[in-house]
Amino acid sequence: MQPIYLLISLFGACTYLLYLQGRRGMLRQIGYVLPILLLMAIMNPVFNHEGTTILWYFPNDNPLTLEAIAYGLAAAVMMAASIVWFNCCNMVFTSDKIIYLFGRIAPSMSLLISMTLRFVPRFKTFLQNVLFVQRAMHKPENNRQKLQQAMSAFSATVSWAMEHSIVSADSMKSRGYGTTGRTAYSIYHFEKRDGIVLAVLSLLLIGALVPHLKGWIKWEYYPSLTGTLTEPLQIFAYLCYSGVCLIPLVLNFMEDYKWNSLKSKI
Amino acid sequence: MAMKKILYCILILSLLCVGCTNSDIHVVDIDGDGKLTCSLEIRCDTLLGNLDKMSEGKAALVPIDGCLLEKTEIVFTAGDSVFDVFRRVLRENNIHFEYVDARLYGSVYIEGIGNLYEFDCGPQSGWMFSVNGIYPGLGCSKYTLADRDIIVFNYTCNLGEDLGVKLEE
Repeated sequence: MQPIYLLISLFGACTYLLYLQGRRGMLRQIGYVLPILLLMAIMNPVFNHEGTTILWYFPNDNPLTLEAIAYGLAAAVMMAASIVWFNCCNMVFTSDKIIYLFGRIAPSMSLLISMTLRFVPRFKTFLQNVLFVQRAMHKPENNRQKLQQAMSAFSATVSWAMEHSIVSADSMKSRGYGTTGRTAYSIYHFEKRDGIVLAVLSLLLIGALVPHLKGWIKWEYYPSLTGTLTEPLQIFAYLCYSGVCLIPLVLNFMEDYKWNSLKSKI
Repeated sequence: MAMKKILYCILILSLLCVGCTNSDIHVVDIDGDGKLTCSLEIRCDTLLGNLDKMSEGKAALVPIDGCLLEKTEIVFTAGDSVFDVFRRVLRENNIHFEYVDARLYGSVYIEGIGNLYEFDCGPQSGWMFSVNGIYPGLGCSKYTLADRDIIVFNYTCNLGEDLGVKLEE
């Protein structure tokens, strides 16, 4: 939970989210994440009273310490960064990529995951459609009617989901899923450019992890905030970790540049 | 007749109320100096031999002489528990401490004093307090003080064995 590493991670996640979803998506994300952040940052000092720097005493004589506030903030930033990274991952990791990656190792598990991931948005869309149609046919006048419409829409969606899953199962069985010897076509091949990116990523990861394992970037919150932040070895570690966190953005920018330059030549 | 009955009822009820609300805990003033005094000391001698088992940051917090609070004389009022005196003295001396309200035991549990917490020196370490040399098996907010009591808080690294704990049954 080194503070600079946390900030780098959060910055990388937020910029990538900004690139993927634009400013509106980013603001929506902040709206979801910020309350959780503040709650976590405030809750830790209320329950944890460890630390040598006492700022104030609660009415029940337990102290409010600077270290507890700092730890709460750090935990909140870590959670926020994780949430944003997972959001980015969700947008990039489509189901066919998951199947390609894990198809050989765990075929049934990867198939299950990809089908589940596909199912949830489809369910939501179907439910919304049914609700729209119901409201168009008969505008609800009071809360009771709204509830009735919602319940009937939900039951219709659930029966659709069950029938749809049976249709899916039949179709998969007829196409030979479950028998051995079935191959899956994928458009992904391991190319030279993948090798280069993999090599670069590995080097940067080693450069970011070794300082942590060796204790060069040690940072303690309790019993007091100890640790250095600006030694040259640490700066090197920060640069490597920034490289790791910014690689997706850099790759996307490179592709955009190539695309735009090719388009402008038409 | 009705008036008499009501008067009798009122008399009985008032006697009962007097008996029930008599919450003045009677603490005897032993040395006759007109006030109730006790002494409080906080020590962590057992940690001095076990500094290697603690993390660096915590080991640096252990005082060299093993004394977090020297023997302090305090005046208390009748009915004060060990915890009442404890929190007052530590607040006055600006010593850090943390406690939780352990509802299961109906008392207060001291987790750490001076940033030295339970489990800092192994899974059997923590704070224990003794009154006049005996370790009561109670939470510190449940033990009511008597005049001339000597309270010592000690850090143990193995559930009291290193302190020679004589638990009061």
